[in-house]
Amino acid sequence: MKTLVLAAAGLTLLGSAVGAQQRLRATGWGDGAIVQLGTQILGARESQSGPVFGGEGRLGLGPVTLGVGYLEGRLQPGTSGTPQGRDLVEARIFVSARPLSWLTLSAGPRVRAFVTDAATERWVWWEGRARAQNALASTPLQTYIELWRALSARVNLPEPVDHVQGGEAGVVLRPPGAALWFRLGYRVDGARLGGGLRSETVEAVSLAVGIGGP
Amino acid sequence: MTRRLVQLLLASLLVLTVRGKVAAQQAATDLLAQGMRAYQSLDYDQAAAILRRGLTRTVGDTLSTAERLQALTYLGASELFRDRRDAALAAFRQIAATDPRYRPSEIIFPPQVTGVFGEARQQTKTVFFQVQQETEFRAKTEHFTARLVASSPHDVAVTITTGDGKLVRRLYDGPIADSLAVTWDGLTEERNPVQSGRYTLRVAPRAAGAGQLARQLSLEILRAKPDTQPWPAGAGLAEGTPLPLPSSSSSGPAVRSLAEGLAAAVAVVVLPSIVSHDAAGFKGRFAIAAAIGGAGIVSFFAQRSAPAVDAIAGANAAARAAARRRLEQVQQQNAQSAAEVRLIVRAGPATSVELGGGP
Repeated sequence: MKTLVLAAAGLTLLGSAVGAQQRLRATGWGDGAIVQLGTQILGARESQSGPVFGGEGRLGLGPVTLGVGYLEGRLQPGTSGTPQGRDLVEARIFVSARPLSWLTLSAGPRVRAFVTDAATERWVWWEGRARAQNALASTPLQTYIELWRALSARVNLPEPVDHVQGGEAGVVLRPPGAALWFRLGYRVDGARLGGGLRSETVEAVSLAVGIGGP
Repeated sequence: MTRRLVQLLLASLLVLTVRGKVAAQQAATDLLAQGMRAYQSLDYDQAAAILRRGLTRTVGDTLSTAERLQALTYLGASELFRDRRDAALAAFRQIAATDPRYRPSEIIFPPQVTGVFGEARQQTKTVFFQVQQETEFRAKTEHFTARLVASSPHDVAVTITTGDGKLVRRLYDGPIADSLAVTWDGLTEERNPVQSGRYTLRVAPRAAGAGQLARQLSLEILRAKPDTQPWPAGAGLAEGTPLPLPSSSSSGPAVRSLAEGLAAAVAVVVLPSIVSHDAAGFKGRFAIAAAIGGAGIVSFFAQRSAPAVDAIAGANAAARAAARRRLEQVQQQNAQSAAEVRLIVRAGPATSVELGGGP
């Protein structure tokens, strides 16, 4: 039901933008990140890390933007924890709007999977995001801070999901006259399950190169 | 036999009908020529009858103004020689009322005729308008001119009235001999520019009596839109819109940039503890925090030390002053144009109104 409501809202916004006959904006970027996954179960901690690569594309029309993102990588165990590595695959779809020049609000579903030879841990959640981004005076730089929280979440683990939330901050460089832009950022999200019996944290330091609006 | 008689009757009827139609359709100019020939043959009764027929023709082929004046002259002369002096005076008055400058030829007509004609002209007190079809002028500083030609010297009152007869402006009150140029500056009696609308230029004899004629000329007056100049390019500069070059390096943007950079850097550092209490905290994030904080500091100093502020301010002040001068010049010219009311006067047909016979 929630899916239908959000989809209808997104289509309505996009439809109104199309009705206004505004120019279509396209944005895309490629992203490379070093990801660190930390899992804590009943006080026992394990961590894995590895490079992850992905990209995101957005189509904007009027005040509304529709975007899709995908990333994938292989995480290897650290000095402690599970002996085997796992693949991280993540995808998301979202609709965003920009009520203020520096504020962007977005919502949409995200799926994340940790794939091992033995099993796959699947996450599906709906998230709402708020992003503040502004230019630094007299420089070609912009800084941003983004916070999000899952509105609902499901995972194929025995523990129920308490909450999933995250954030991101970074700096964007858009050289004057250049079509490309560069973004250096740090993002983190944490999931708490079973009243604190289990938690998972994904952190990443990423470098993105994009074209269009950052 | 009976059949032959009927055919004869029909043929006779046809001939009579055709002849009647031909007579009715006889050109007014032919009647004028016939009347003149009858006059020259001293057949004054016939001349008067034919000329009256030509003058009274109102449909189809009618006489031109010049032919009408000629016909009236011959009619007046014929009536005079028929000892009908009043009828002769009436014919000559019509001439004076039609064209005050017209005079009968002294070669064709004897002094007896021209003398009576002069008498009739003296008795007829009316004027004629000589006005341009359209006149455009600035109210108060320029004027509209109407030349009046009098049939005989007399005193006249010249006024501008509204369409329903209300007085707008008295233009002249006095004698007119042969002709007179009357001017109007487009103002009312209260010295305000007249509004758009239909007006009447009226010339009436001051000694109004029965049989006297007042002449009226219909005037359509329009107020033309003021001819203003366009707003000069760059006028916004003079009104305080943003300048083309920054004129100051206020500390506001610099401090804001520094705050934004430091806030983003702090966010990177504290995000793991906000999002997840169990986060190990990726050490690499401190490098990101340093980069973001450094960007904020760079922005702060870049904004604070924006160069050549005085030169930019000076250039802006000069541009602003020049723009203001241009704007004031145009504003002054436009205000002057707006204060000037331009009037367009279109003259309509002239009519005569008989005075002394009631309202």
